[in-house]
Amino acid sequence: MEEKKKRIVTRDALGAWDVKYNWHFRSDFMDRYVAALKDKKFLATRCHQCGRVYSPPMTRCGRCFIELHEWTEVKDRGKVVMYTVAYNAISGEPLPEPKITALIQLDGANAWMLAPIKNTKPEEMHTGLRVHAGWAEERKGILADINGFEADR
Amino acid sequence: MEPVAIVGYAQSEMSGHMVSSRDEMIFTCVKQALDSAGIVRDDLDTVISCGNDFYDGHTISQVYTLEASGAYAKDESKVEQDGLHALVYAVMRLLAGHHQIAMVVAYSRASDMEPHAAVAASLDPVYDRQFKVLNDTGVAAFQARAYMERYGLTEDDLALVVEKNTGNGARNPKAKARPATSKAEVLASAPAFTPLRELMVYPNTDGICVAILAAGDRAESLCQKPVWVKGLGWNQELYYLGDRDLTRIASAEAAAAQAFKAAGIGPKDIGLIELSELFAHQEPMLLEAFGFAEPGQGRKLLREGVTAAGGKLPVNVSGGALSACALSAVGLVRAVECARQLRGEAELTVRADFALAHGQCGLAAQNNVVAILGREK
Repeated sequence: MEEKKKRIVTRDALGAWDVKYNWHFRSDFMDRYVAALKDKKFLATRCHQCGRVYSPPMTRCGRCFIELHEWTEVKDRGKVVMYTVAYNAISGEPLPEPKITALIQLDGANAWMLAPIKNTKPEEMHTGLRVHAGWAEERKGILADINGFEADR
Repeated sequence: MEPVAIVGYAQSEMSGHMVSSRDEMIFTCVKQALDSAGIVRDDLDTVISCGNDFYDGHTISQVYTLEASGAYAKDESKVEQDGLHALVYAVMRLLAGHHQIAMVVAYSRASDMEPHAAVAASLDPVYDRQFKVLNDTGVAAFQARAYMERYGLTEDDLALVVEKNTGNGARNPKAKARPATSKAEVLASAPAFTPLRELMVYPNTDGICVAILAAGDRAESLCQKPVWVKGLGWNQELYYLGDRDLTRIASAEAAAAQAFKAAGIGPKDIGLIELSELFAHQEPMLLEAFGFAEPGQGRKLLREGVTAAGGKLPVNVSGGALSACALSAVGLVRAVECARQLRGEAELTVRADFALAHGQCGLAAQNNVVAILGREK
């Protein structure tokens, strides 16, 4: 086996990606979605072919390969379809505090949304747990208006 | 159409930390592969590289690695998925009839970067990356829980997969990223993303695998024991996590069905399986997807010893991805390990006429590729 040598830094070359990305998305969809968040409402799009309701809204149905035009409203509460308690950060290093992330099916939606679970202990988590959105105190009509979800009590 | 065969191969030691440079690693392994096929660089018609710019930290990274790969002034192209997808591409190029000898070069080096952070960049940037909490292990954890809850699997079932595969890997001189690990050690390891523990996740690995393929008569004239590509299949699922059935791997089902159809054989004809089980729960899931067990019954194959190295259907005799997993190379390693078995060169030898090799890419095995290999043309 190759011997592990101690690394000594003698010179740095830029290794991290220093490229700034400005991803574009359908602003008509996003504007409509985030504007409703200000009023604590979740909008969704519905596939007129298969009937699936997507929240967050998708611009097309991947299964049917068609553009979505129909809008509907879903509830700001629903159930945990799946969850994980993260003890590690993205890089793989341990986190100081575990973080919970869940796939949530909002009442009225078919597809699930990914969101952090706040104010809830890991041992309270189970699939099927009823949760509701934790809204920012002062909402601005942006994605960050959703603080996360928390368990109904 | 003329059949295509693997006629030579080489792989580096798959370790957690390689001392050599990337360039040196590629150059050395490509030379060994050419030697194993009994050819020189001039004999190569086409070179397919497989790596990932994010892992390399280098845009269109083959512009830099092509010299070490022996691809200078050659027909060359690159695949950013798995090394087994690169093998599919190489087979296509040979079948097109313009080339007779193809080389596939697949590698990555976890010690050069943060592999989980690099894979996390495949998350959707609009809705999913904003929370900055999930990486590939986190997404696989959703899949693990969905599958385990649906079919009543326990942590023990996952730990036993690690124990079997790393036990096999300990006898493979190439698989050096994780030593033999007992069930108790797996269960005592720290939680990563529940229900997955650290030792249920693939080990960070540096390594390279190279395969040389040739078509028809050329394969037979080059090689006494060519390993024939009997069937290939590949397929993918929707990206969006909220729109996938995580209790099964539907794209693996479709990939295997396509490969079996092409080969004209079925699961009962397979004597050896090499899987890219990046996470322990994926081994039983994949065996079910390929038709070796009913949904939810894959774990029984392990508990009953069927998939042990000495069992009726050995799975991951080489140690699998849980023993060593150089991303991008891992699926090609599976094909090469099958070839070593079919040629009777492996440390733990299994008798088989047909072997199945599997590769994957994407979050929670979104995209799967299956190759069926055989000794007879």
